[in-house]
Amino acid sequence: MGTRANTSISRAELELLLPDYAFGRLSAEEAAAVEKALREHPDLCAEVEMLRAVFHRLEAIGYLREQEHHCSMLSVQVLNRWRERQASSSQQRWKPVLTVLLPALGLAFFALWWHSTQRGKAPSSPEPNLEWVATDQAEPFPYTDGILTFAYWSSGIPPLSQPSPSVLSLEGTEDISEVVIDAIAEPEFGSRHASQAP
Amino acid sequence: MSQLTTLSLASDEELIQEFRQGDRERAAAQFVRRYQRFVYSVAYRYLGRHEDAQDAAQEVFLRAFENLHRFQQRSSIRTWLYRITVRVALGMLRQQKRSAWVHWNDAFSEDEEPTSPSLSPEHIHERQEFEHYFHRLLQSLPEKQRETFALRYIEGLSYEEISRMLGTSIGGLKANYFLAVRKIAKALLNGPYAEYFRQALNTNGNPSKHEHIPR
Repeated sequence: MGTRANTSISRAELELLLPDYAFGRLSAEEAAAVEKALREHPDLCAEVEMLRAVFHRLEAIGYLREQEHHCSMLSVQVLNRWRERQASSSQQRWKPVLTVLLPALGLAFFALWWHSTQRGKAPSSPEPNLEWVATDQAEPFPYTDGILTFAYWSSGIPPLSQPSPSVLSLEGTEDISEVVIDAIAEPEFGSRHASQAP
Repeated sequence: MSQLTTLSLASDEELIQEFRQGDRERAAAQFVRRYQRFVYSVAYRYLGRHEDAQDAAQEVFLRAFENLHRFQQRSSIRTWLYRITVRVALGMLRQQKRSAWVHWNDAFSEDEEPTSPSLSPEHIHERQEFEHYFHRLLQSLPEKQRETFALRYIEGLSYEEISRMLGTSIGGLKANYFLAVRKIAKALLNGPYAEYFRQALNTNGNPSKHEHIPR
């Protein structure tokens, strides 16, 4: 702006400087340049006077500067809210720990413990073939052969190649345990029954 | 010199330093006192109600305290607060789902404080009515013109600072300022208070003491 005092100001430039000139916001040098330019534009001179008068009256109403009293207590209100917020935030600080972190830690510890116990008793053999278990092949009665073998052995009768059906269908015997007990108690039991057998 | 006086004279940088490493509450109180009128008036221009402007201003300072330790001082505190205030005010407007215009259709609050104890109720009422009218007038301007006028005329900020706040070139700001001032003056001379303002043209703007503001 230092050189502006010596150069002419266009009307458009002058208009942009009018408010600051009217309200005394220009430096002395700038103001001198504007005054010089205004001599060539009397209509703008009148506008400056109008702006000064209207805004001076607006200032006189005083409302523009009177928002101070609306916010006079703001610092107290803000500090009170700030303290409240700080107090609640310090309580809230542990909330995620209690709600998320602790259960997560608990789960993690349980998983570790379970893993360590499983590793201790882990079988060296491969997993059983579940497919085989799931088939509907009937498993033979586990003790049948053993008991009959014992019965034949104790009675002195040589075991039959297919003993199970014949022995289980012996006359007068409803329970295999009865046959076994009889065979033990009477040594001739086996030979007697054997002679009856076809 | 008392600590309070020392802090009130401290620069923004010293105040931030005090807030970060010294007496936070004292620095915070001084921080609010320094910028409360600015933040409040920006919020009021956007929200149009004193109660809303107070809520917004409180929220602005609370957000500022939460983030002051991250403030890099690349812009001035005022610019930073201006941006927070506009964000908070726009957020409040969105929340309310109504613009500030709606408030102006309401009667002014009964609990408004008197603007000056020396004024009669009639004057107070007139002043409040005028305040509502003038605020409506400001709201009728495009946002950039309104904010440029308020920041330049009312807040007295430099074009450089306003330019950083609004993101507008200084040439653009000057044009906005000129247009806003001209529109306001013409509206005042032709609006409901025309008689009052036309008198100013004859008296060089000087009103008599406690002069009524006739519609």
